[in-house]
Amino acid sequence: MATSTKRRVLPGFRWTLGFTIAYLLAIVLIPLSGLFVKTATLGWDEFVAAVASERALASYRLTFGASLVGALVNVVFGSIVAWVLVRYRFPGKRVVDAIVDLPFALPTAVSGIALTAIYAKNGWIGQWLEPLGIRAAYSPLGVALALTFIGLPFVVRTLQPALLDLEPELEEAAASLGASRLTTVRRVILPAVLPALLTGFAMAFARALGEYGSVVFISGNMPMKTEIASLLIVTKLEQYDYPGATAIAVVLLGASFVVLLAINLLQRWAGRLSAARA
Amino acid sequence: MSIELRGVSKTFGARRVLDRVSLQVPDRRLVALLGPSGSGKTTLLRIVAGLEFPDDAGGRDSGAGRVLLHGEDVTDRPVGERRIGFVFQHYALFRHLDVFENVAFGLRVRPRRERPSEDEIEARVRRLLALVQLDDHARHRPSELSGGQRQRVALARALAIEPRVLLLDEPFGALDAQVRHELRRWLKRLHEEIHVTSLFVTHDQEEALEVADEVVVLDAGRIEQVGTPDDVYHRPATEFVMGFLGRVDRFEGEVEDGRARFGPWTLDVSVRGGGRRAARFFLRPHDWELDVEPRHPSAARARVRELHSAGAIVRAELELESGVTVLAELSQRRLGVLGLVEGGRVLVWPRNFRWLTDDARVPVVESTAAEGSRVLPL
Repeated sequence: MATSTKRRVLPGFRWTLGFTIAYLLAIVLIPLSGLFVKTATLGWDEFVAAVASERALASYRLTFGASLVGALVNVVFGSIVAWVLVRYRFPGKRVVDAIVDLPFALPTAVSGIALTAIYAKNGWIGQWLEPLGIRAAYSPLGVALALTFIGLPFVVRTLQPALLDLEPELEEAAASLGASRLTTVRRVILPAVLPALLTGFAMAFARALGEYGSVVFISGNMPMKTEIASLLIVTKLEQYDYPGATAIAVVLLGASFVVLLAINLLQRWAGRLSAARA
Repeated sequence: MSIELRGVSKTFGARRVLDRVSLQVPDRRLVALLGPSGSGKTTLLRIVAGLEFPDDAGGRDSGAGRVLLHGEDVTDRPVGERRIGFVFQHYALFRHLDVFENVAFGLRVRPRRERPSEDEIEARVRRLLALVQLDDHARHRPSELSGGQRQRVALARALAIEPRVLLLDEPFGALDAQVRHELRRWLKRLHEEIHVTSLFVTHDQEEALEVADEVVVLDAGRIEQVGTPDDVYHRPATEFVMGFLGRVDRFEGEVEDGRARFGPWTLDVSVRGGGRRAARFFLRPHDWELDVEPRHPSAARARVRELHSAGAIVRAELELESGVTVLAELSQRRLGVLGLVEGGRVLVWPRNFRWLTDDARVPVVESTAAEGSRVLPL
């Protein structure tokens, strides 16, 4: 008699899958669904009023805008850092490599205070920017700065393995065929690392959307100007407006999900482009 | 001259990889750079390509090595301006592009003024794909091709820019034995068709001897010999070439006044006179005469330790009475005539041998076949 289940050579599929689902439920899905339940106590009009108020809209603009700027800056400069770490040998390379991880490890409040101290009007860097008419701390620029800081390791660490995987012969081949350095980067290197670059961008962006600790110090938290969405949520919580807080959280969650999904699809498309290794 | 190197040296850190190498490759030849790993052959190829630069490059002093392509000094030109075709051991195909676009790459990256029209690119790529027999695979990704096919794409890509010379770095190194043999013969035929001067690196002496018109043997950063496959095999210029091209058994012995003594043998040599001198003797597997009758005065007794008779040529490992073993080759027919078996006895003496004294560099070739009227043809 034929058995209904196929015999597997490697055991443990059912156990691990069951565990995975249970784990995701307990850690991710149930807490998140609580968000929706709480929000549902609001009527539709109240919900709209909570999430579409002038102040909330301004905070979305700042959160998404600054996160985007931070992630984009990291894509450019993180790529250069990753490239240098992969391709060159120089004294102190290990130290530089370790510094990249600092934004991961540092408590975000610490980084926020450090950034504020440096970029404030009388800070080390801020004092030079002030005469130029650039206000770094307590401005949207400061928010973008903090979000750039915390996003850096995501881009560098996802790009590094992809660059390691890229044989130097590819560049030599392109050069021997007459391609300039710029053409080689554009037509050979970038397409090869594009999936990793998109992942790095997505992770840095997602991380920035939810960031709180490092931003609250440098932003100054002026409503309509430098107030990010997660701060608005905290403010509402402090006023015991739980449904209002969760309503904004739901919007943030939905938007993040859509953005991540879009990037994921984009990445799959880019992955098909660069296919398996030649 | 298609390729000319003048006194090229290359040092990596403290290691001198190439030591004042000069080389001339005439037009339309297919030349092999042959040597053991670490002999500098790949570095030499990469210097011709412009992927490495010789020591002192840029300086015009007499010590600086120069690289010339078709008479033009290209030492200071970057690789992209040399118009060379380079084929890498591991193909280095652009994996995000299909076969067609890989081949078209060198045409598409040209500055707009020099870029061929879209129709022209299409026509040229199609022609090249037909040449490498991949017309049906134009829209495949490199990952969908076999190793041999990938290397043919790499070759077509290199040929697309109409290179002045074609440089191949261990082009068959990553392929399995059968594909390797096929591709070798195919490359030779292709070269007969397109006649672009080609230089390829290999560590496989069989490959070099089979494919190349001319072989450059390198060791420790120096050129040991340049010659046709026949030359380097039959008339090795140095002891290294002798030992590197094919198996060789060595003996320490001496020569004295027209006689040579090594192992159990005493044989005539062509150099008369001179006192007793130490000498080294070299014998290839096909240099041995085997018989059951003592047809040579110096025939020595040996025991057959092993017989490898699966193949066109039989290889016999013989143990001399002194305990030294030598490797001899004989035909299947001869094996039958002699009736050799493992553990059996046989008489052995050199038919040909080469020898060298410490003060000489080029081995002397000797033949014993003329000696004694009783010698019968094999």
